[in-house]
Amino acid sequence: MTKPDTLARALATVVAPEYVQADPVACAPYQIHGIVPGCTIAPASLEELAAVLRLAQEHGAAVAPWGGGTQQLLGHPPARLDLVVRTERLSQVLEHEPADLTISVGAGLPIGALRDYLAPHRQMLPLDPPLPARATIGGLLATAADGPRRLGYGTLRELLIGITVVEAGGRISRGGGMVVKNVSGFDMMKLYHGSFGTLAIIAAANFKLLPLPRAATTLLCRFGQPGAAFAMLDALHQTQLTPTAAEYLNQAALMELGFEGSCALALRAEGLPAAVERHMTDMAALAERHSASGTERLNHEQEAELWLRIADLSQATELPANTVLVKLVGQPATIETTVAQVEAFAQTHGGQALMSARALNGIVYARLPVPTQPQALAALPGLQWAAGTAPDLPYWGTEPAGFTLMQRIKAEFDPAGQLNPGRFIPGI
Amino acid sequence: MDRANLIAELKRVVGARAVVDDAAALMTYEADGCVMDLHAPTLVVLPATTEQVANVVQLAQRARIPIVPRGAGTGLAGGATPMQGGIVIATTRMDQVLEVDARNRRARVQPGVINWELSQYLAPYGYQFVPDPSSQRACTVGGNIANNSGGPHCLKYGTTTDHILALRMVLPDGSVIWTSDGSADRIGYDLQGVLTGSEGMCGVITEAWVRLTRLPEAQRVVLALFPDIPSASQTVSTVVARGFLPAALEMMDQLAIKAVNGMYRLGLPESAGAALLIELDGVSDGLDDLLAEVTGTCRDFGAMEVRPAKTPEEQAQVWAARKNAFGAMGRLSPSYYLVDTVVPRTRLPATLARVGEVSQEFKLPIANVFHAGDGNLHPLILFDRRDKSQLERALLAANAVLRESIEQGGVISGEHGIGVEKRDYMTLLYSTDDLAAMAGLKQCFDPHELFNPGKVFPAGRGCGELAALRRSGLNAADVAGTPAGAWL
Repeated sequence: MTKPDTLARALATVVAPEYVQADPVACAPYQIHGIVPGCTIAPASLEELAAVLRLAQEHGAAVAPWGGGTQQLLGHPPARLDLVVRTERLSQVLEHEPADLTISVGAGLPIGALRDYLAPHRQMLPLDPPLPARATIGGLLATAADGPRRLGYGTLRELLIGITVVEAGGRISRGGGMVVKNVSGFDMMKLYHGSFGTLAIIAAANFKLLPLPRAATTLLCRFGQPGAAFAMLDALHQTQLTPTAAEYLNQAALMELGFEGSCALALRAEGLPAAVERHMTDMAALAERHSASGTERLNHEQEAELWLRIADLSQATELPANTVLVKLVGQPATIETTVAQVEAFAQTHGGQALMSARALNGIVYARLPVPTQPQALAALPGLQWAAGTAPDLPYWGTEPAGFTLMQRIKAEFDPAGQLNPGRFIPGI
Repeated sequence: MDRANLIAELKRVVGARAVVDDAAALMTYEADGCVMDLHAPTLVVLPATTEQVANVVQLAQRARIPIVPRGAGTGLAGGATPMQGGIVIATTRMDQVLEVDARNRRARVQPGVINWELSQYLAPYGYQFVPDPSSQRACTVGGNIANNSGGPHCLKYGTTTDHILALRMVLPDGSVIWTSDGSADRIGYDLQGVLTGSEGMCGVITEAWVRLTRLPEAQRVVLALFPDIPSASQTVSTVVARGFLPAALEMMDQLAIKAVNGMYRLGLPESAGAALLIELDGVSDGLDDLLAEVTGTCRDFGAMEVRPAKTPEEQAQVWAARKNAFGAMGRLSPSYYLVDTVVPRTRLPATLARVGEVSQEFKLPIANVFHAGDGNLHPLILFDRRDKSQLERALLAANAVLRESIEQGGVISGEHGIGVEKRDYMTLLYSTDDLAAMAGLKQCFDPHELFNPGKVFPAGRGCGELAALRRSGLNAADVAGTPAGAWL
């Protein structure tokens, strides 16, 4: 364990002292699963970040990167935590040539701020994760976050074209570039995306952008039975329509959003006005054919607000007491069964499940009561992670394929095990 | 192990007819589409199953013999050239589509399936495998994955990496893994993301779950002719910036028009300085209005002629001209050197102007046929291989084009890969630390460097040296006399 004062004094030589904190009260907001770091620091540049990690290595300090802090309930409690490195001052738009539809930004930029920056250019980075005002680009990349519109636009995995990281020990390295197509060497972007801050700290990222769609409309279709909703989705999946989001919402999710009913599908279309109209007409007809109890077309303001709130249903930041958020991954065709199993699981454990599912991607987010035996959650189909404050959660589901290779990669990039130790899959 | 023993052992694994050891037959495998550097393999094996591949790899590992995976050999960067000899594992016999799961929009295929045949196979189901490189009638899905191949439709739909759900790999130690179960997300490090585009340096792909994309309801193709490259380039920028989201946006210059004109009887005016091929797709509603906007934009920027291809037959003819443009170059010159680079889209006019200067400078004609919407250039340097001076000038011209692309903020390959062709250019694009990170990653898969040695990393300082430098804990800047990127 590194002495906080010694580390803080050393750090204050490379970053302005007011951005180095070793006072336990000042460090308390950066606790992870109740563990308060000895120090926090907010470097202002790539070079400062590199200097911080070099010092951290010299002092043998365990480091956790911190963007908006919206996903720190994911992952195990840290095995060691000496220093939280905050990316809040690495939040600049570094390069943006609107006509190229590419952008380079600091990792600490919240995605909501990026959205606002791009709006006057009529451009977008089409990811709609929870809590956009706080969630940063670096954190979203590190946790491979998604949002309902991934059906139409994918995740940051597909949009990331270049990356700058600082590896443990302070080595700066880059991958990719500022072009939309690139096979010059290994795809290092893929390595860091979803690596949970265990290989390097992301300092900046380059993305391809899209023009804002000319039109966007949402259809909210309510059903008496989940079976009817999933039958409609199956039929929709077979058409040549291209909705950009198709979210299944169960009764508890609908209630949270202020709607009544037993379940619903929120279906979004974006693009040319005539094409969006066609989607609305065809999807409404499909819904009717599948006995929807009501179909409501939302106007522009309503739909923007609704999607922000749907995205927030899968936030893992402020979970009610004794609840856990799980992510389950399967195939579109298995999702109906998964949803039924989750409802049954919640009932068995004396509560209710709140579910939003990226149904045509095969992904379910469910907020559940914590079972008496938290490990029981591991039985849920396709459990990818469980986030929450309860101890002993099955944080990362089952051991992934290729685990030995992953351990080798970890040893190569962070040989001393300083980056987010203990937080990711056990053994990494 | 001596050669005779090796042959006997391999024949036991894959069968006598699946081992190629005849010197004349081995010549076929001396290179791929990049014939600058020829090296014969020691042997070629044609396994039929994952187990056979694993057994071959284990055998090679024990004997410390290099392995080079190979699909159809259509690569243009020397990715399949056995630089140090060794065993070439050709996937020719692993050519089955194993499963089509239309409900979940995915298919399980073997690596030797021909790209074009896969899409033909899927069409009756109403689906396609999107990556469509110009070599699609010959190239394999395994090769597409190894090179993260592109093609015209990647503009809208993404490159190969966006269409791969899971890989079954024989790793360099002979073990076999599936990178995931083929669902949308995984936990842990993104192995298939890293393996896609790793140019056969980290293992052999023996199966893959690929993503299927629904065929669009409607398509519109338009061919627009411009007086010069700058007017066509401005049209490209505008079409992209206005959010028309074309499925493909391809350009040909005057020389290329001349070549395809003769071959496909398109009757294009050879006075045109550039031709743009624009494809729109989606539901039919609104598509004709969009087409009108696109053709209007073309005219605004000075298009001399705008020809919508109305029938599927006309569309197919226009596309055939584009996709076979490289072949049509044979009408102009005995050989060509196809350069693959990418620049930011707004830098296209400046880069193409420099390509024109390079042509003058080295006194060799250069045709351009390329993916304009992505900023992905393909200058074709025309020369006669039998003339040594022309060959030298062609290489110098390619060098000048690559340097210009980097100068313009671009990169040295958009879809062909680095292979052996461009390995020495990597230092112009990346710092030593950048390359050392790649080398470290590669060694996690292949610590003994038996897989496709001599590729991607610069010849002067290969993967092993870079990885060792990294492990020594030294940053490149700390090593005296080697400032980052300075040791080409």
